[in-house]
Amino acid sequence: MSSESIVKIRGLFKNFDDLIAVNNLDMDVRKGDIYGFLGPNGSGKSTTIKVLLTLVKPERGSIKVFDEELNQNPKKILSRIGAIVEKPSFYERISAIKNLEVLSAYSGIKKTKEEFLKFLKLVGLEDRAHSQVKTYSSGMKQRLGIAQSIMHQPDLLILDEPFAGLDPQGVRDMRKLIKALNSEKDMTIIISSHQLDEIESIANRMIIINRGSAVCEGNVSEIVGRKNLTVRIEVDLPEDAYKKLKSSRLPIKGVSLEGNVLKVICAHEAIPFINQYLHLSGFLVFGISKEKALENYYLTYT
Amino acid sequence: MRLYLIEIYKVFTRRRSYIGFAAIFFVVILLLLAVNYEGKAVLDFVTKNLKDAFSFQGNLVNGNLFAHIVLRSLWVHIPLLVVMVTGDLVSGEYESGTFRMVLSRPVSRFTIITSKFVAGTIYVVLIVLFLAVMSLGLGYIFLGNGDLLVTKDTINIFNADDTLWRFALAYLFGILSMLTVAALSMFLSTVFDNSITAILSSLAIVIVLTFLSTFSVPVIVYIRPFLFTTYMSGWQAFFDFSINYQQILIEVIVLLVHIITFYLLSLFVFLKKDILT
Repeated sequence: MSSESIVKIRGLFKNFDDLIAVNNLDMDVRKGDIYGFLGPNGSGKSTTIKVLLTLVKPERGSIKVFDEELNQNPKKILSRIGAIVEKPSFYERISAIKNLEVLSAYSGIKKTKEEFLKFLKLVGLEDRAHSQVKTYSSGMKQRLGIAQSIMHQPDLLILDEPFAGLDPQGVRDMRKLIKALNSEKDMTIIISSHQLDEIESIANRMIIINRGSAVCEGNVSEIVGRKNLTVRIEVDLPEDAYKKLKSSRLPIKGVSLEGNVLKVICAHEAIPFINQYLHLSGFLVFGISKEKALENYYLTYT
Repeated sequence: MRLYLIEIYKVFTRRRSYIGFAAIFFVVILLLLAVNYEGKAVLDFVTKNLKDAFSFQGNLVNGNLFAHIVLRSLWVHIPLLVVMVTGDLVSGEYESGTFRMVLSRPVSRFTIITSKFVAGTIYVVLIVLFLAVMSLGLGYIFLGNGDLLVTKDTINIFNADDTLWRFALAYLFGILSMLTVAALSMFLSTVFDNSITAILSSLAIVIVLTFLSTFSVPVIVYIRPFLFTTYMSGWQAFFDFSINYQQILIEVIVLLVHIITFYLLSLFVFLKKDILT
């Protein structure tokens, strides 16, 4: 990944009367990133995205996109951004293809019907191109949202909850599409999502925000991948094994006993040594599994 | 230009935009049937207490009288039909969430509001023209041409060939007064995120101001000339024998000032507004 900054936010602050939505947020998205944007409901994710898209005006802070201050040249910057904000909303009484035509007018681009159909085909909606959007399911609207967000071939794509409302096949297709847009079309992508597994599997960098402030930001693998794993170990004598591990000199950061399962916090590299230690100490190890790393990390910090 | 066409297209994709046309169509047809079959009763209604002092000769129940009756009876209801559409132009997009997509595109908010005002203006022009075509057109076709009898403070009878230009100017003035109502509702539409609130508050303001415009209390008499509702029936001035163009010009200026003020207020609100819906 390049170190060239695509989005650089410093000291962003936004309040709605007494409610502080974003509180001195710093954030860096680099060119080529698939950037996970995580946080609980009401943490300020959507407000930050809306600020990036000029839908909401910040009280203070600096927002640079493509190395330009957003408030200096918003039209030029927005012409290079595609987005879905919250659930995609369309003009319900007109067809999908007509919606794309209407929305493309706001982007100042002109495309033929065939080109619009190409985008609908990309998201699997070509058969329903001429149906009124009011007949669409929420998953189909989500896919239409993707089509409208990429039809002007943006450099930065902002997807707010892109997996919401999708069935398992839809989630898989969306994941594939996001990866393809990132690798083949060179799009930098910001994804806000509650589906932590998805973020863990596709994002290379991420930020977790809580109450409007950044809790952590960095490479996904560095943050959650290898340093603080929670490992579940099933053994024949869990209480004895717990005592043994607790008094051992193994590189573990913590151990607890939950029911008949040992929970050990350690680095990825320590797992084989723990297994070997338990085996040599005479315990029968029935299973070792890693708990969902990002989920644990997220729950710890939010 | 493309964005202006898109806004006009959007107005006519909404079902509510046709309610006004349908309402005018049915009311005009009903009035036509009534005038056609109960012409004498209609003339009695128009002349009311004048029959003891005057004797009316000739075919006074004609297309001109019909068009004038339609204008007098329907004019107070047209604002209701107008604000149903114009009060929804901006708030409808807040409500449906489509502004999240539209305003994250490289388009200025100034252009959005201006194109919506243009679309609203075109809707108002079309609905008043529709009323004109329906009342004058159907009136001439089914009741024929003839002298126009107008009863105001005086009884005015205009020759058949002296009426059309009066109607044309009356409808033009009518467009201006309806545009003022439309501009008010579009302003409230930028303020409220909900169409119903925008529409009902527009109607409430029109009703209250209309009441004030007719209420003869000294304090209110002073502010009356500045209320746009005072001039809602200004079209009737074109059915006087000697038209007071100076007064009409003042009324036009007051209405234009209101329209421009509502437009600028809409811009001010919309440029500052956070899109949270």
